[in-house]
Amino acid sequence: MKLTTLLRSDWAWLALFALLFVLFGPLPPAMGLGSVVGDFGVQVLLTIMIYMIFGIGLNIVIGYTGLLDLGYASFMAMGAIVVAAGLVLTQQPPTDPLTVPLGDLRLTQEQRALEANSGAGPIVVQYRPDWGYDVVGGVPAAVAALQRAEESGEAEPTVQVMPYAGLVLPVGQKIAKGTHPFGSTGGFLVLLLIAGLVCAAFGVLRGIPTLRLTGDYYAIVTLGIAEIVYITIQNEGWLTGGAYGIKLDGETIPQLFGADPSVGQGKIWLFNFYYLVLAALVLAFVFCKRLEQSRLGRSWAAIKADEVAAMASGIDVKQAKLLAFLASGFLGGVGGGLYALKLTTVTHAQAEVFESIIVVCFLVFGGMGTIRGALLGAAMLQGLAEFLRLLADPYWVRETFHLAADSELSIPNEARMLIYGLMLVLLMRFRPQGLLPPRAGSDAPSDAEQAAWRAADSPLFKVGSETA
Amino acid sequence: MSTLLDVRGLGKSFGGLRAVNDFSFTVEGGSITALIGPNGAGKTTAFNMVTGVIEPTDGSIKLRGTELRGQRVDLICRQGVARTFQNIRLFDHQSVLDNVTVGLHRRLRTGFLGALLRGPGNRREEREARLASAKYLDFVGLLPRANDEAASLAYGERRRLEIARALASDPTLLLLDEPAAGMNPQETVELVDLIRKIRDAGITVFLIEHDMKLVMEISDLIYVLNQGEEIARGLPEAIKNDDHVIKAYLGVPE
Amino acid sequence: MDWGYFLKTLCNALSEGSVYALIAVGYTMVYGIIKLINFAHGEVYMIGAMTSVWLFVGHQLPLVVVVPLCMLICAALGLFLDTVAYKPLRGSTRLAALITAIGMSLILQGIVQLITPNFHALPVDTTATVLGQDKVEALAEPRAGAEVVAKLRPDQTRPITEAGDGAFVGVSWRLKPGTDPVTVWLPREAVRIERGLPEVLDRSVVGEVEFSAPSEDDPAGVSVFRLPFKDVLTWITALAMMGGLHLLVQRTKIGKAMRACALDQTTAALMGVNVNRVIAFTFMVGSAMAAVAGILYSIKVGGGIYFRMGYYPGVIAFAAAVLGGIGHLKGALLGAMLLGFASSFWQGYANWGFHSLVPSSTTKDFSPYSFAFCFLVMIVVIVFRPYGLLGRAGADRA
Repeated sequence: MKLTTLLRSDWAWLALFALLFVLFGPLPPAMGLGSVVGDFGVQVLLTIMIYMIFGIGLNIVIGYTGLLDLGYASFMAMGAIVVAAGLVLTQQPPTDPLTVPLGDLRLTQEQRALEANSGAGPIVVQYRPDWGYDVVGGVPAAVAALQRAEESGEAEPTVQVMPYAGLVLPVGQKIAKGTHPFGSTGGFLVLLLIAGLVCAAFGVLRGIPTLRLTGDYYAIVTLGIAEIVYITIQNEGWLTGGAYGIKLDGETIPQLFGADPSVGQGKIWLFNFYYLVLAALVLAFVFCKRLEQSRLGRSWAAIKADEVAAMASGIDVKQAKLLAFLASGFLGGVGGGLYALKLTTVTHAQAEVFESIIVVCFLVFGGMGTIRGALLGAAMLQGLAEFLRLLADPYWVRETFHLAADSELSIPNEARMLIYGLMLVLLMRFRPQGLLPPRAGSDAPSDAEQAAWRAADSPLFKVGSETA
Repeated sequence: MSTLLDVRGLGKSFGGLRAVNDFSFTVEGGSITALIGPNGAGKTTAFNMVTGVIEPTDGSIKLRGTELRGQRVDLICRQGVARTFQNIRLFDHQSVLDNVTVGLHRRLRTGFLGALLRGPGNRREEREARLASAKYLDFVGLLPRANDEAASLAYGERRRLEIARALASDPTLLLLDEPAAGMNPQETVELVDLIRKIRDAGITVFLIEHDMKLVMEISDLIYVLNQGEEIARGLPEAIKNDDHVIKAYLGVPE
Repeated sequence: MDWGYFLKTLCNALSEGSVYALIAVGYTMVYGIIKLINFAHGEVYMIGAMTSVWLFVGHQLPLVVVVPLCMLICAALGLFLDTVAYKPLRGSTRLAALITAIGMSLILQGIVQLITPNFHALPVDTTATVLGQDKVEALAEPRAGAEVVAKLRPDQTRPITEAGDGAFVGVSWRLKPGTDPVTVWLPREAVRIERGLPEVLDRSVVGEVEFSAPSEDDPAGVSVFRLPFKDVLTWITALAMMGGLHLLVQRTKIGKAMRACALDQTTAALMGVNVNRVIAFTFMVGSAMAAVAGILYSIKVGGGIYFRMGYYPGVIAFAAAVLGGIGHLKGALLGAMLLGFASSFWQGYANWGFHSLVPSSTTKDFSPYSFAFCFLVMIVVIVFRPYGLLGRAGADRA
């Protein structure tokens, strides 16, 4: 296949990025769970994948339907909040005790005395890699069991402990999390789906008043609605944690495919999460690609090109637009839900207008209207943003570029805004279609193809339904 | 022949300006009917009202007895009224073939979920749609250009592509807004053949045109508008010699 | 009814509306001619405010010098924006121009963020900064030997609240987190004093009215309304500027050219109007007006001068322009006043209203929703009356 054809293929770009993500992602457990790019690199790749999902989602409205949406951060934030709040608010106190090898427990003399006199309550244990378990509080029964074991000389004594916040267990040890409806893989996927549906519904709801608007009035209305959402998230602390946001911890973050985030520094969990996000990215791609190449996708393109002509061709413009908002909102919600687990702290900052503009930048950079553009834009610009974050650290700059020991050279993180702005202006001036714009034309059909078309029969082809 | 389109007392005001006033006309099924008149006579306004692009101030528009007035543009298309535009409105950055496939929209079924699931029914429909689009292109003689970007077509080809797109919606009534505008004589001759071919296939044609030779050659009935008012109607021969029409076109000698 | 409070809210509403109006005219004139939402306009306002503080505080220049200087600087900035960013895009799509405007807004914010010293706010108060290497004891009273209530770290900067007698200065200081700041006294020689806004602008009062405001706690309570000089200054300046602009647009040759370009650029060009020059002039005039808005804001509020300050007023001023009917100067004034009133009265009375309507909501603070209310007004207007209050239907701008 020719290189130019490959460059124009969304699938080729997806395959390329997926390959890179697998190569640089965490290695499977058998190979030690490490990564070529280190822990920081894995986090960067996760962020890029999630932003690719956002890019794909926003592209439906901006790229396909041609409406400049400046409020996509609302969806990203709402998806994250639905997942985070869903996890935190439904959390039940754990009920099932956990059996821990007693040999791993260590108690100081004072603790034993203290525990013997204290009242009932869950035993609280903390794991330290160099040390084993550290009992920081507990019930006399547990202490008694410990003493009994010591006296009787049991070979492998165990003690039952209640799982508790802050409990960290070694690799392989599972926590029975009591009743947490979304605490399992299935539960989390359901929650993710709920987040997507909530955002899809919000997309439709938000879309209804904007149906008649195009161009800059559409842009400013979506911006206004996003501001209202932002202010609401900031002020409705009962749901969103207000200024502090919602914090997820080892207890509230769901297990993924049997791995617990608090076991073994969460490495297996991270591995599973990484591939869950990659799977979500591929699914989002397929979701969007199928819509693009369907009757609906053609309607969007027609609306973008000429709304009146689209209507006159029998397209229900309002319905098609609402479906675009729905699909776009759904992907934003799902991406936001995944982002909640990546961030572990979800704040109103997710809903800021700059967050929306970042994703718009991806599309402008990559080329509005193509999925490959969204992928490339997210990869390059989010990668750049993370690189700038490193450049803001004089220590990192000194070590990486082998500068003198007293060098304070660094680029303030604030430069990101400036760089994005410059990029938008320069692109609009010199390459408004972006790096990978949509291409309609391809090679002319061969004579044989034309002949085959002429000869074939299609029930859909008819000119005139009645005879004159 | 039965009456396909029956318009009574059609009127439109833009602010204080009366663009069309009390215009009644009929289009017989299977005929070619023309609407002529000087620039600014209100012809395109009348077209826009029939296709629902603008809302009439007065009057009724009945297609085989069904009231079209007040209906949405896409619903009117769904009832078998297709059109082209005076200033050619193609989907410029899509391929020529895709432009026609959009025209097939109303006759395809796949919805949101169908597109996501992409079952065998959907795949067959897509295949048939591509094929049918190619055959419509062949019908207007654009098949070799199927994969080109619509924006790359020459003027006359763009007109024909717009007609192919309109035909794809399987209309009973086809409205052509100045189809020959900007065409060279050779292209006009081909256009006349195409319009005849469409009529012979059973589609009723209603057109606005300034090229009098073309109008006189193919029309069964001609309506003449001037400043929003009907000034004449009749067969081509009669219109050619009508004093009002000549005055309207050439002006009144002082 | 607490009339003193009402008058205070009214006074704030008028000042807020005045500032919005001065920003809104820039949006409305530019949109009227080139159909572009100049997103960077809020940043011009921000730079106007920044520059004025820099000149006031940093260089101690008088108002009569600061105002024209700021206007000149912002006009130059407006010209720069048009020439560098928008003019090359005249032939391209409106979407491209809009994205460029967003880009310019980010660029200006980014530059200001990088060059302003502390990335947060410029001081507008007169401040005292602790000198030397050691902590300085802050006293409860301005005399040697008074009780030590706090110790201030070196380089700590606090606003001066009382000038004192020369040996001591009073600065505002929070004794405990969450409490209101009080005045504590530092030895004059231990601090460096940096002057803020001129005293006359900051604190002088034009008039004072007393109302009886009996409450349950205090049946003989009075509420005092003091009309600050800076608010009166804001109203008069805004009114004068708007009047001047009206005359400029209606009575001068260039104003006529501006109106012609707003109606039909092609025809205007055929009539011999230099359209590019008119557009550049429009940007300059709008930016100069935004500069005045920035100066008035920095005098009135005296804080929160930082690189993002232009965003909300910018969007709300655009909303005001749309509300009044974009392209109309009077509409911009009307829309800005309405939104100024909506925002101020929401802040002043939303809690009172919601709490009396829904008794269970008394613990909730509704005042932060004032901007949300302004945005809601904008959305409703764009959706249902895109031509605005003074605009005419048919001139479809959506």
